[in-house]
Amino acid sequence: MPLTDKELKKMVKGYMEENSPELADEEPVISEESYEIPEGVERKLGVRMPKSAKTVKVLTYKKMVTAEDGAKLPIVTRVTVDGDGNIIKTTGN
Amino acid sequence: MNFKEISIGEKITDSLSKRESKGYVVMVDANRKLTIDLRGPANQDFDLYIKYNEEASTAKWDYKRVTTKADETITIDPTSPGAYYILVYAYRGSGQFSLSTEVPIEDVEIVPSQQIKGTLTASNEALYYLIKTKEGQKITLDLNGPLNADFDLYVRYGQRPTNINYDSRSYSGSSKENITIDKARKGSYFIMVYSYRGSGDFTLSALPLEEPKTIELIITSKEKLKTKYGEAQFSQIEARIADYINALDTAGISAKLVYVDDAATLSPYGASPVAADSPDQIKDLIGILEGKLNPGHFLILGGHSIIPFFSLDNPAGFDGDRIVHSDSPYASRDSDYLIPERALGRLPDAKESELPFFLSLLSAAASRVRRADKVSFGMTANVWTDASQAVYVPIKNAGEILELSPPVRHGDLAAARLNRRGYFYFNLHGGEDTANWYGQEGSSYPVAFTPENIKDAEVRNAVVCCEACYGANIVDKGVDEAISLKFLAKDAACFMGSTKIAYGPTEPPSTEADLLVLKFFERIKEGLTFGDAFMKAKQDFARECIAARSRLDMTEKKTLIEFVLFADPSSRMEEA
Repeated sequence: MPLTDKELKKMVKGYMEENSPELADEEPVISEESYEIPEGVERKLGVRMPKSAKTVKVLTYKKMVTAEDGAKLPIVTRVTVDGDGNIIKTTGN
Repeated sequence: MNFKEISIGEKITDSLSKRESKGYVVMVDANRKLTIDLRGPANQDFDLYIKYNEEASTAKWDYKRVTTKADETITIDPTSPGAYYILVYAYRGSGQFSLSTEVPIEDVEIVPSQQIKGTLTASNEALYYLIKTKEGQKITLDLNGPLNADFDLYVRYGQRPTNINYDSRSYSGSSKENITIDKARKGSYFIMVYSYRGSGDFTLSALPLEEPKTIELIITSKEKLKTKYGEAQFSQIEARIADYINALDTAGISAKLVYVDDAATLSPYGASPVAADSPDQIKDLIGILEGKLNPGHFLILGGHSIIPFFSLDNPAGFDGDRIVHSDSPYASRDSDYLIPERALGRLPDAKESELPFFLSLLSAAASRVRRADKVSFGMTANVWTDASQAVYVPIKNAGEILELSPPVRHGDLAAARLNRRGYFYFNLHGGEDTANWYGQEGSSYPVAFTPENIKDAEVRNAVVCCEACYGANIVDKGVDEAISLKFLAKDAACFMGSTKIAYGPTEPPSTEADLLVLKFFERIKEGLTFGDAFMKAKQDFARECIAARSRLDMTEKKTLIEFVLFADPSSRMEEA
């Protein structure tokens, strides 16, 4: 049975507290993304990959922080989770 | 280190412990295609470094392959005669590996001005070669064989000729033959040297080919420039463009200037004016012009207010960027714009009151000399130190270190620290409404770099790459409101950055913005033009993402479209 959003948030909470504490208390936007390689990419690069569109959940945490000079900066962390609830990628800005 | 000699075709098995390296050397003839294949254990990271005629190391190499896996392949084509030193390095993990080398028996490529020697040992024997050509080139092939034999020369486009199927042949009754193809097609011509009678050594040469002039297509808008700067000032712009075109001509590049909204400049190509505020129409027009001119480089003159960026949907939704400003569709021949196929750059203008900036940019481009010291300057937010170190490698020289912010702040960077640096690398924070870039440690975001930092610095001809969010956001910005424009105002040769929120890892391996900048630096170091380096870096980036994870995810797609190049695409870095 797929994980609920609540379960996903709970699973990722520990990672966020450890690695992106400034965003750990933010409410993430949870979206479903399908990994595929567009036909044009395969053609232009001359690569051929098996057609298995993989679906993952992405939790996007973001907020604006204030820099030392008062400027507003966006801070984003995206956590990608597979169907088994494993964190398979994290990235940020 | 001891480099063990291995033979072509030999497959050796060996093992590495963590951070260990082992060396091998293989001897190869000239003009062959050498493939070196490393197969290592799953879930480990082994890398491959190759150096010609000198022992390879992780710091000294001519070729390297450093994906996140233990399987690496390098192909060298064509080879030079001599020794290729191979270093296998366990970057992460340990285990057994196999290493094999292969030189397939195939058609040897001849390059212009090259003479190849061969031997036919009996009548009716043949050897095969190929030469790669551009559209319209003139090919002259000369064969000189033994006096007491009768060797013939056959040429065929796209596939090997035979005695029956060929496009041209020369069969005089001696072994001195010659074939000229006046207007070659783009592709490969295959050549057969055939012994009709006898045996012996021969030479085959491709005489210097008449290169058609490379074409650069310059795209801008007459009406937008006139409206923004006024009629009289437009004349000044035209004069500078004319100087630039003359400079290109001297450099062997034929420049074709088109105003997208001007019938007079478009009619020679059978094209009609389009709406200068329509990126879609401009893209279609570029496609038509490409069909007529076959340009090698594409230059957009002007910023968003002259030739607009595309406003694309943000693939990585929910990060706050509604749209992504991008030149990627202009660099693509079809609607699948993630992978560029055109070497394209943009020389942007700034605000209406800043015409001198644009004129100066055109003059700098006309100088065509982009020579700078190979020394570098790198700066990163403290939290990204490990990740940035990996990106810094291609431009870093011995003794150079990344500046970390904090503790380093903009006020700590005197002009002398930045003067005469050929390469700049920044991995800092940025914002949509601020000109400054910022460091980070914990929840502290100090000002790390500002336009003021380069006000009095000598950064002429530098290559500048920045991963900061909005690092290349120039929409409605003046020179002092965008560090990218400030670098260009100070005659930097090239600025590569992101128009929107850019992503990256906190530690290696490099992904997203880190990986793209890394690939760009590697391509620049190969001596490619800025436009070609940018195009190939994006292709490399996508290949590496797919090789590593069999996919392109949404932040990788965003990276591909949000990074733009502000540079003359046919210019290149010359290290002093």
